[in-house]
Parts: sequence; C-alpha cells; structure tokens
Amino acid sequence: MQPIIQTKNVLAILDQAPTTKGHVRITPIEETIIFEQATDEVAAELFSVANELSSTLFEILQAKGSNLLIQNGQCAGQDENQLSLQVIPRFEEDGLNMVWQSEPASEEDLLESQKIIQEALLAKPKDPKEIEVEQEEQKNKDKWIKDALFRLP
Amino acid sequence: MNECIFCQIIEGKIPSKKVYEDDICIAILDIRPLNKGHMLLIPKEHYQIAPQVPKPVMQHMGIVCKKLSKASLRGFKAQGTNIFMANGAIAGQQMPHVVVHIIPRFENDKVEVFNLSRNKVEQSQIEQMSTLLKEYIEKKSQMPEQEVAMQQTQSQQPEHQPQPQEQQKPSGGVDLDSISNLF
Repeated sequence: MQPIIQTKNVLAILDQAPTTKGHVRITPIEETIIFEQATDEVAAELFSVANELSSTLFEILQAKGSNLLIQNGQCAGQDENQLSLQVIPRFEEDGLNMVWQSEPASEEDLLESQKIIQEALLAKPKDPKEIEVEQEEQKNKDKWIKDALFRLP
Repeated sequence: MNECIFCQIIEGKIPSKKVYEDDICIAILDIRPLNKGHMLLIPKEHYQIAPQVPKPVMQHMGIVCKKLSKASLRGFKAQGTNIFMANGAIAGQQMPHVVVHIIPRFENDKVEVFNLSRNKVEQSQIEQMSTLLKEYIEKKSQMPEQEVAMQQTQSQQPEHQPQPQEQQKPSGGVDLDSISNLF
C-alpha cells in the first residue's frame, strides 16, 4: 500500500487492523527494530510527523482526540519487527480506555528510581582506547595462565 | 498559567523528582507510576494541547524520549518501554499541559492498558481511507500562498496560536462524508 506521507526518514501507512478509524503507523524507512536503534534525526521526524498527522486526523475525521503510542519491545506490546509510532484517533464511545489507576510511590522508591535514571543517562559507551587497554589486560591474564600451565609438572 | 501544576513544577514551586532538564523540556518521575521508573517529559513552554506544540519542540522531545527510554532499559534492566501521549480529554489527557509518558516495561508486569484491540477491516476500505487521507494531505500541503507567507513571518507571531486557516473546514476535492461513513 502507498504511504500516506513520506518524508526523508519516515513514512506513514494505515494500520491493517485498526484499533479505531484512521489508525496510522509512522515507521522509519530504514530497518529499525527498537526505538533505541533510531538515529536522533529519525526520532525527531517520527514525533513531528506524528503530531502533524494527528492534527490532520482531527480535521478530516472529526476525531475528538488522539493517542500516540510506541510499543517498544515485545513485552510493551510490539507486534512487528519494525519500530512504529502509532497515531490512534479517538472518538466518543469508541470503546477504548487508555486511562489507568496507579498507587502513589514511596519517597524511597522515587529517590532510588531518580538515582538509577540519572546514572544511566550519564553512563557513556566505552571509549575505544579503554576497550584496547582491557583487551591487553585480558591477554596478559591469559599469558599468566599459560605461564602457569607451563610450570605444571 | 500559574495554576498549571506542570508550570509550577517547572518553576520549582512544586517539588518533583527531576531526572532530566534542558532549555526546552524537563523530565520528572510520575509520583503515581504505572511501573518503576515511569517518567513524564514536559515542554517548558505551556502548551495545552499537542497541535499547539511547534515542530522543533516536538522534534526535540522525540530525541529526548529516545534518550530516556534508553536510560530506563539500561538502568532498570527493562525489557521494553511504552512511549505514550494522550491528546484531548477523550483520549485520557488529564492536565492542560502537554506531557509524554515514558514507561519501562518488564516481563509479566501486568500492565495491560497499552494492549490494543485490533479490528478486522476489509482491505478495500483501508485502501479507500488511505487514498482519501493522502489526497487530503497533498491538498493541504499545496494550500494557498497566504499560508506559506504566514509561515515565513512566523517569527513575529506567537507560534502556537492556531492559525485561522487551520480552523476552516477542509473543502474541495475530498469527500468528507465518505470518510466519516467508512467502517
């Protein structure tokens, strides 16, 4: 099927089994399984195209609202081997419920989560030089084992 | 605007657990998390609804969302994430300030709200809808020069003001009734 919109990095097509009328999936043109694999340019384009398309669906389908959703990973509901940002137009009495009830978190839990996220945001991928040093160390370790083996009777 | 809870959080008048901040947006922890590490990404500017958010802000939020999603996979050893946005009360929007949810997901976490029900629809109907949407969007992109001119002078106008052009009912070429009657 022809895409509804195609930009430099993403395209939008109608969902083949729509949750509501006008349900659209915006997906990177390049093969991208999970969100983290997308480049910044692709992530940016997914969001801006989704927002524009959502406004267009308000106009054309007289939708009363919309939900934007990424199901990133199988346990998050992902059902295709390609990342997509879904735009689900909402209508009165469409039978959908995307509101949840949740309990307040304790102060300790929130502080712990805050620390975990802040640290994860700071964590950088390893420097190639660092990796080289590690490999060298590993080799030396192996050398020591070999040397030790040679000393065996 | 001062009554907006998110604006007060951004100004630091209401305490929050901030996890990220830059010039355009902040991310805080949801105090009623759906899962451990549930984050809210909020633009600093007060936009009530998503169509008011300018393109560069939306693009920036996409990049930050990815960063936060990655951090939650790494930090919480999450097996996935849901990125979720509700536009309009009917869609579950509860605050008059745009917000994107980033929710870490784990095997058997019993979160079911993002499992979508899917409907079987005739292929011909989908194709018909697709053609109509495509035509409408193409028509919109070729709108009168006034609008292009308006966009060029946008720097002088408040960007998030809905433009009069957009509020007009679309007309010409696209048969709106036939779209409403689909499904």
